Amino acid sequence: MSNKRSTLEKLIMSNDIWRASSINADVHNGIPSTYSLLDQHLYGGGWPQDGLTELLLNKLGIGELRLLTPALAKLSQEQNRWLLWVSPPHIPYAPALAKAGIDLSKILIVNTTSHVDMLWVLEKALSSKSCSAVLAWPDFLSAEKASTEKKSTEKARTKQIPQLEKHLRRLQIASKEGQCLGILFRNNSAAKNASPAELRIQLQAQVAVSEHSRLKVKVLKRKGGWPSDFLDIEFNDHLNLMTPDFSELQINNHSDSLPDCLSPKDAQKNAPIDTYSSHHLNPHL
Amino acid sequence: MTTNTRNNISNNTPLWMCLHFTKLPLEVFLRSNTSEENAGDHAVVIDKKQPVVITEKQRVFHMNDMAKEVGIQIGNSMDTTYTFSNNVLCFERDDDRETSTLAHLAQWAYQFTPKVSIRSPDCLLLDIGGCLKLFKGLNNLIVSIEQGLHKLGYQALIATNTTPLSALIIARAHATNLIHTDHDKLENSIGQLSVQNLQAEEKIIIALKQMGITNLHTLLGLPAEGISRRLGTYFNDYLLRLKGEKADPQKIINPNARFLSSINFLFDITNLNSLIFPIKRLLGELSDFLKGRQLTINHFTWHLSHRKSPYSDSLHKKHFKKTFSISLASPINETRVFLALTQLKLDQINDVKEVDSITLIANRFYPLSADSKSLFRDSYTPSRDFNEHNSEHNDQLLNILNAKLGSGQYFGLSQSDDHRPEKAWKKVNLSKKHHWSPEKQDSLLRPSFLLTTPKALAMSGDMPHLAGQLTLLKGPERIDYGWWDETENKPLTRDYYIASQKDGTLYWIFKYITMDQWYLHGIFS
Repeated sequence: MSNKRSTLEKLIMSNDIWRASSINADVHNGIPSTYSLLDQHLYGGGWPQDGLTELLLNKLGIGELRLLTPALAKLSQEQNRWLLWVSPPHIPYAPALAKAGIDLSKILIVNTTSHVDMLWVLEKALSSKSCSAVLAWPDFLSAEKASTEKKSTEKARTKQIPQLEKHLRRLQIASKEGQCLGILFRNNSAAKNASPAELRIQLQAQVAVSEHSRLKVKVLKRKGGWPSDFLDIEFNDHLNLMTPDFSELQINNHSDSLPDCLSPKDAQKNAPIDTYSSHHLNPHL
Repeated sequence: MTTNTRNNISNNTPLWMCLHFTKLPLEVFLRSNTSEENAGDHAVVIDKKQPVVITEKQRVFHMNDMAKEVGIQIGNSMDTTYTFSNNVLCFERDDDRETSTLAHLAQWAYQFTPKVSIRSPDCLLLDIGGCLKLFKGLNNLIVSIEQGLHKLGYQALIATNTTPLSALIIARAHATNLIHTDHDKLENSIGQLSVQNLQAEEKIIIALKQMGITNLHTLLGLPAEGISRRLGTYFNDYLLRLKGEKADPQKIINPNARFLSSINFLFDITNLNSLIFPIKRLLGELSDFLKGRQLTINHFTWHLSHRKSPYSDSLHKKHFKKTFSISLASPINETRVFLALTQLKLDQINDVKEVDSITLIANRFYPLSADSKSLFRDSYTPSRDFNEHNSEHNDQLLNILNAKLGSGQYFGLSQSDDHRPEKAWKKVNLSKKHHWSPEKQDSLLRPSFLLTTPKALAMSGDMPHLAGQLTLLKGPERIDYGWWDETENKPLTRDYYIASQKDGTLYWIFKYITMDQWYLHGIFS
């Protein structure tokens, strides 16, 4: 009798059983991405706490990590578990990560030499319960030299792990078991194939309109909801802030025969008033 | 003998246990093959029906049951032996091995009581008066010792009595039914034994027999003075110690400072998977060793050896040896983890063809730090709480990574106090408990990915080109390059810019101020 009960309890406790009674309790268990527009389109109001999340993109550098860093920072600060990077395409740069609020002492980086090893590490790490998040770039492997050039991106695309699809289900189960957020950066071309991942988001580069950089995202697959249209995400950074072009200013100033040591601001102050049209006039001057 | 009387011995009574390894000469050879019921078809098991004899000076000295059955007797010559059976397996007696095995068993027995004494050639004496309570009675203690020995592959006759010598003669007389219970009746318990069983000179035994004294009951009843006068003070002294009327200090072993145990195989093992069972056994021994001493380890070494390998070159003709070590992130004592890691390492070995001996060595120990867990922790912590007490899990991941990939393949990240981009970060070796340098926050914009070596960019006119024209957004940030570092012989100053591609992708590029060539150094992912 007691045996029976314990198996029932075990069943209820297991992650893949969803009970109608927990519908409200479950709603806010996502890890907030801090981008409210995206959060609205994610089940539980954020990144899933476990299961695979696929981010589909054509090339690195469009803001795929910026999209994740607030959540990673939160995980690294709240949980005493590793933030594992499996074979990242380049060196994850410590000063930038620290600035984003990620606790560097939680970061663990593993470099693998073969696809088999990478899959092994992924599965072990996801199921180990010792990682809060595991990041992997299965389609951007050994792209150190290649990923930035368009020509070689195509080469990298053909270098996809053979039959990664076959392993995805195992990875998904492993990450459920290890209560770990598994993030796979995959190539856009994978979008047409079905995937057991919890969440699939397509990312597209977008030109910034202000000083903040931007990214277009489209939720392809999610729990408890329909795919979304492309959403505009604006990052809270100043990456796109253009520095005023000093060289041009200098040329102008030179023509006005101003002292070289003056900064543009000083130059403004000291410039003869008649060189400015009336609407530039400072009333306090 | 009922269970009750056995367990009712009070803790104050001295109680000695004697382990008599009757089959030791055989067991040092056959250990790898005995009591391996669970080995299944993996291990090489000697046919139990094969007679095995141990010889000393060309004469049979010891043998197994099967040899006895076919009619071989102690003292037979080898020729006689082969007439009884033609598939007799024969070993020359190995005294050294017996001695070292007995010493090893004494170390093993240290987990039950700190007072263990070796009685060569085949007995161990254990003072168990003080540990009965711990093991919940004599019965339980005997059972756990028997089970432990069985796991190790040894068999022993177990006898207990109130004095070391009485326990010893009971065991040597194979009269283990005479387990002693009550101090007053020591004479009764060993009374039936013949004087032959006493460890005395032959002439004393003969003298006793001529006096008509055949069993200990009569002998112990005699007045001490008379015995002393007729048979010498030494013998009298021996009897007093036997009776417990005189102190009988024993030479107690010192616990070993290192762990070393090995198993030798009769036949060469060619399939490494079949090593798992001996490995399990050795790890079990190691675990008992550590438990008995309240220690933990973070490093242990396996030696696989083969006496003469035809595959090795002439230089290493005599002995072939393969060594592999397993390092753990933090000291523990968990057989399950040890086994899993050993298996991982074993899977990677592919240059070993044959093995005839396997050895496990552990040298450095750490005291067991028992961190007591809060009594009520479980009641309020949700199952998804990973805030604390998780370092054990975290270390386990490092352990398996280390065993599978090697320690160079994983590392942590830390900032370092240098303004040059390449040197502003460093790898952290996680197997050493490293202290991360305090994290400084500066407002400089840095890319999340850094290229290991800057990559020269194509140029179109003055401007850098990367799958289309790059637009310089932010910059320049001038960074001086280590003219003070002698190793770096490039005293060049760089101007860094954040540049954007047409579609909004952001890169970190630089150019040396003296040159027009642009380089890509980072990606704002």
